[in-house]
Amino acid sequence: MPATDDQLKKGNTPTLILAVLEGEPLHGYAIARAIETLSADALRLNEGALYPALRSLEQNGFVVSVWEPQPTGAARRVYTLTDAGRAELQDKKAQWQRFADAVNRVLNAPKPTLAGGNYVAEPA
Amino acid sequence: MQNLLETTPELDSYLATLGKEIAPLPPEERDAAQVELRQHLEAIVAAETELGTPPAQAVENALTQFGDARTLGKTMRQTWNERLVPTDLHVALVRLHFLTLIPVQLAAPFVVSSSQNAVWGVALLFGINAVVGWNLGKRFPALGSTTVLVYQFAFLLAVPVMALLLLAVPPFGKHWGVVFGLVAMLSLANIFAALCAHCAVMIRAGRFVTYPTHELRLLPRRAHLMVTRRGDASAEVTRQLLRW
Repeated sequence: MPATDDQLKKGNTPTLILAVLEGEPLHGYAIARAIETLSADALRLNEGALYPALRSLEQNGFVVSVWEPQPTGAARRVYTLTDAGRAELQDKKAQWQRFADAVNRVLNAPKPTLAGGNYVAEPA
Repeated sequence: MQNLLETTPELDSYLATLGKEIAPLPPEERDAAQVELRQHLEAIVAAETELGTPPAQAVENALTQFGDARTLGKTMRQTWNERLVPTDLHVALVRLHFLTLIPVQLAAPFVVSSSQNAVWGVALLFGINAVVGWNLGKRFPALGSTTVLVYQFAFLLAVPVMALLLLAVPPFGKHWGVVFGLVAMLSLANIFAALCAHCAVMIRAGRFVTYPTHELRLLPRRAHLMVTRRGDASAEVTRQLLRW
């Protein structure tokens, strides 16, 4: 996996967690699988990295966790999005949209040419 | 779920390494993290095994997906420290320097300038610093009590110890006023250095600028978390805390 992809994933792991928790409360393993499934296997996180991100989100009040008894086996720590987390997710979505729009504009814009030391956009 | 830990020393070893890294965390946090990570690793192994992966390979894959145990533990510890940085360190430093050390340091020359009180003066200095160090250790679990005590005795005791040493030299011992002035100046330098260190920590944590609003914003959430974690929250209690 290229380093850039790793950095992108690392930087956006909290947002991805908030996004998958928007649907329903999940435990750590299910969060990792949900991100994988929803991204059609394009985003395979370093699963250990989920937990520092979850702690950070919890410390900031964006998620809360409770140990829920399971029908089979031991209780598991399940994370739920809070109202503050929902608001944070909306902010992050808006930020991402602005960023993606800006990148797309650059990628798809008519390419500038170098004229006399100054970049001049080619006419569309 | 099958208990794989008994049959997979690799998982055991991984969790033990992680456990060492997160040892400074409070016991409840540390134990919860260990259980949670173990369950996650076991779930990966179980899923892979169901798909036909040999158990040993499944364990290896699970550990690869989790990444290096030391790095993970270190990151978890840093995350915990970040929680403490804007609150406990700030409060502790302010309390330490403005309520405890300044009076102690200013009083030290008076106390020890009288030879019959010298023993009490030394006891007072070390006693108060030990109590403050213990208090810091409690407030600062992620740092570890040893770190706090080293900090306490190496850095904060420097000024009173210097005063004691100066008073032992006859010319200074006879002129406690000079010593008093020196100690006062060194106290100010001490406070300045501590505040610089504090600012450096805050800036490193990226929270210096947003500290006040950040803290205010977190208060109701922390209260909510506290109640939720204890499992005795009624909706009404939570609502009241959030309103507060």
